[in-house]
Amino acid sequence: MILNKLAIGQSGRLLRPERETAELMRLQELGFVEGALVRLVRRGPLGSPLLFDICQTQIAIRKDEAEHFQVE
Amino acid sequence: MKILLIGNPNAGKSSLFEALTGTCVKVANHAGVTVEQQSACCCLSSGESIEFVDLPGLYSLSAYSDEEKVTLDLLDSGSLLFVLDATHLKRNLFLLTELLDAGYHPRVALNQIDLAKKLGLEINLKLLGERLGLDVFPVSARTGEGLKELKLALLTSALTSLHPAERGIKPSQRYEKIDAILEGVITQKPVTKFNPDDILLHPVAGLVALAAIFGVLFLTLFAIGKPLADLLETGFEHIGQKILPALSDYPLFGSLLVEGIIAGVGTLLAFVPLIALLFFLLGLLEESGYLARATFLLDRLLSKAGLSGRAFVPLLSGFACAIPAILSTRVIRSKQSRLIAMLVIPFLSCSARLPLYALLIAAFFPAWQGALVMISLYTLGVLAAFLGGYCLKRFYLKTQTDELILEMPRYRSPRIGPIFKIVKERTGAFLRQAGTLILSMSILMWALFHFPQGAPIQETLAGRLGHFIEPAIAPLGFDWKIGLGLLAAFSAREVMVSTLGVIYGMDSNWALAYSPLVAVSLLVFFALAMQCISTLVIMRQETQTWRWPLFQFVAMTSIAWISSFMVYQVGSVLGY
Repeated sequence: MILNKLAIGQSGRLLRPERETAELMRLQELGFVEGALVRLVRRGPLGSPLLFDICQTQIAIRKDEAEHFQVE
Repeated sequence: MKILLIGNPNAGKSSLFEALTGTCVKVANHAGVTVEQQSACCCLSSGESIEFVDLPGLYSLSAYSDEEKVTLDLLDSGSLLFVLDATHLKRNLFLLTELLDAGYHPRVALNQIDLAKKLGLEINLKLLGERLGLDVFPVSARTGEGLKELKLALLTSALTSLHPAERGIKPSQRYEKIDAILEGVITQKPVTKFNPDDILLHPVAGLVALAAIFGVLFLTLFAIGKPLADLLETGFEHIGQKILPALSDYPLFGSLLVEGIIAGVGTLLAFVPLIALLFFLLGLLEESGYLARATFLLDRLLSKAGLSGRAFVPLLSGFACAIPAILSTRVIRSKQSRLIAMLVIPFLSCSARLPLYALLIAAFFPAWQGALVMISLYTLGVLAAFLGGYCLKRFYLKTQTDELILEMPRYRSPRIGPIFKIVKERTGAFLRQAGTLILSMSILMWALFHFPQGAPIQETLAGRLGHFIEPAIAPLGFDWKIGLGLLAAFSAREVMVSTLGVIYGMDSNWALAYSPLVAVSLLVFFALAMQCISTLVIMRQETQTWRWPLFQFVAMTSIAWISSFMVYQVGSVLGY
């Protein structure tokens, strides 16, 4: 499942990203790595950005960025 | 001895810096173009002195921006004190383990230990220290807990540098390593707490709260900042008028001093209360953690125009005055969206446009129509700003990628000290850097309007310039008198009203010399054109090049010209 399809309050484990771009690298450093547990806390008005609980931190990213990640 | 504080953003680095250096004598701000760092020298009773440097926050050692590259270059200039946020251990360890792998041997202050306890986190310090191979000092910059021990350790422990270990491992591998380090180190006791974000980030209630908070902010700027600014400006005019008679033997010098220099200083200083107040309010929002929430709520809307959610406060301030608004775009992290914000802010109708709006509307439109015209002018500015931002993003600056990575900091009560420091630094920098140029421009404008000496206004240099540009503005319905007024408006937009007053003689309402269509055309031009030298000076200061202010001037003036041209020509054809 794509990361941005998570329901609010739902958690998932991140899978290995398909590509490794510089932008994704930054998110990986912040904890968006293979095997990490993420929970969608809430969505912004109009559906973006998305606020995630990851590594005891709340981090918001835009919908397009969340589309690069798959969760299970 | 030099000690560099390094750590993640929001790890409490600046608080710890303050707590460690609070009693120090000398604090210096190095507000560079790209990097801002603070340093303080502490002299100890033993005669030694320690210099503490607060580096900008980093998430990792891979530098993505110029700022980060500069910060990384500084790492070797002293010994490192790593500020580890006890409440975000895992993420913070990413940077720390990177440093260790790169051969650095920082001392570690485990900060926010009081907050961690409140959140139900128990951290096994001994185990953490053993796993990292470092001494870990639990501290709280807020309560002062553990600071004494940390200071003592900073003075005594000698450092051995390590050999670089593994380099270039992937983030996922590094997190595996971190998980191994943290195994058994943290135990979390459950705590239930009311989360204000349930309201403040709610799609409906959150937006209502946002409107209320920014409404108060904007009203404060208008109700406190604007009167103070006006007071300064009229105060200086008043002083000038008092001095003028004493200089009646030297009319030219007197006029230069009063109308050029003193009035110029008044204009310059009038920006100060607005700038100071805006940075104070922004400081409160940022420190309390609310700015990140506002960014979250507004990002979708503003990203369409190439802006980030953080651009909202600067944009809002643009309705008061573009100068503080452009200065405050420093809160925007992405370089590209900061540039777009700076470029479109002057489209928003600032308060200096109001006197002309009010005069022309009062002269030509009855009450309810007038209100409608006023609202239309503000809307026109907003539309121009959004369309401008959209076009810039789409066609002009499209090469750069744009992203948002926003950490939600915890709410906390704002520390007033650092906010005042920023206010002082920003207003000081404004006066130092823009002051001379704004003052010279004021003197230049004075010269244009006073030479040749004693000539009536239409024969001065400015008057001739007005005649010279008449053919260019005639298609908009403007004559040379309006041209002259527009030139005068460059020193400050509100001057337009009084300049035309001088040309026509003060007692009559000059606006009535024109047709309603010319008035509308002029309103449109005035709403959209770049008519403010101070704004261009600030753009030069903030972008470090004349390229962007020139671009802004040409683009805005062209857009204004085309819009006015269409209004006047279509209006003429329709018989207005």
